[in-house]
Amino acid sequence: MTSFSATGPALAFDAVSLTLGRTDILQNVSFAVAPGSVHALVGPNGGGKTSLVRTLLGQTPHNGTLSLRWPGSEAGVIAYVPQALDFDRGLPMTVDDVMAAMTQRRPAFLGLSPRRAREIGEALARVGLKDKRRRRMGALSGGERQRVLLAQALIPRPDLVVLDEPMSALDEPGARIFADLLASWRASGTTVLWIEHDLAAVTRWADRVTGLNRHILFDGRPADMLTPERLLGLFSSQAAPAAAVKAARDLYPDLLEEVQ
Amino acid sequence: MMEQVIRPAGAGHETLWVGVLCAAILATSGTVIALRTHTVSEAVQQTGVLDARRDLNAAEQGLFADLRVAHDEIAGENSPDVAALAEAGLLPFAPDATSVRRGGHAWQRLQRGQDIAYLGTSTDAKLAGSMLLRLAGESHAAHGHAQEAREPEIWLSRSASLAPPASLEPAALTTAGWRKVAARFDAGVTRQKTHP
Repeated sequence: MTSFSATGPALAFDAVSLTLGRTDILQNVSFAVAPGSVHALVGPNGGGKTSLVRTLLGQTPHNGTLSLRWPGSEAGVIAYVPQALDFDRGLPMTVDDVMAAMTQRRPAFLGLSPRRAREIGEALARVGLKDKRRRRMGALSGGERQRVLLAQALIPRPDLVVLDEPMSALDEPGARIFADLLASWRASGTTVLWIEHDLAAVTRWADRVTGLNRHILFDGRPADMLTPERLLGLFSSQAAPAAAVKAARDLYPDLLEEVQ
Repeated sequence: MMEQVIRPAGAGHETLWVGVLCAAILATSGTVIALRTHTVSEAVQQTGVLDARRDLNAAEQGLFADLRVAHDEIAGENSPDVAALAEAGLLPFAPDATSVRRGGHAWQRLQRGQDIAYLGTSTDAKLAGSMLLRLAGESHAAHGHAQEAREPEIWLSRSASLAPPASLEPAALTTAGWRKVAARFDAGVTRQKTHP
């Protein structure tokens, strides 16, 4: 937690459920994100992490209450970094074009807006792509493309950053850049909600972690929560051994006593 | 401190606006219709008057229509006698196949004082009743009812044994069992209603 007042909002998920068709994607999800904290969201694939983020962005017909408590008198800027952008390799768009399309109102084919040009340059410099501004998106590696997505989240300066697996394609230098960005967001009191598969990174950089597999599995400090037993339960499709033992005990109480 | 609640995505608000729009359109059109509606005042039918459209059978309607046309023809003349009219081929005075099917009326010209009428006595009361075309006397025109005087007065009697009326005054005709036939043109022409 930062020592000075955070500029980011507090997030409160209160009994949020999401059903699409007949599939229950989220069930009674309740947790809170402290303002200015880096909050990681972990869980197996299909566990509803991305759906939760889309719910936060107001894109799903959810039930329950999801509220953002902003410190100021009006809502701040929310930055969203998607998992990946699907690009055709032949798409004739440069990094600058993509940045322009994502950050300015002026149509990208008219070029960079003078007001944004400097900010875009700085953002690309922060993710180490300053010398690749004229490159076509299709010519970038997966990690570099992910860095472009991180760069667009910096303009305008966000108060809440929502990251959907930003490290999945990042290379080693990319990971360092990401760590720097996290540190700067933390320093500026920006709230970060961060979906991540890399549990080592979560343990190192997150203030709090929530395990999600359709419903909340755990919620606490990473050091306390990311124990081997929990992770086994989190990523196992079968019931946990303890639960299996209990079920067996309920079914065959006499047999088990004999064995013991 | 400002709390922002994330609204579930959905078309609820759009649906609401479309519903409001539909309601507004219905309300507007309903108001316009209500304001522009005026009750069609049906010509009140006098008692004892037959309606040409509803109360006459096909043969009588045919005769009625022919008499209305004939009246226009006769109006200019100085009330010629039946033979002249038949010679001119003016229906229904000229005998032809149709006149037989309509009851084979025998026509004669009647004059009672100033009133002149053409009386067609039906030979088959089952097919059609006897018809009487009453020409408006000069007394009507003198009263300045030129327009009304041009409307033919056609009377019908379904009595089997019929003597020529002694007087052509409406009251006398009514007493003698004649009933006036009136053609009305109103909304009922296109709107079928069961006649009481």
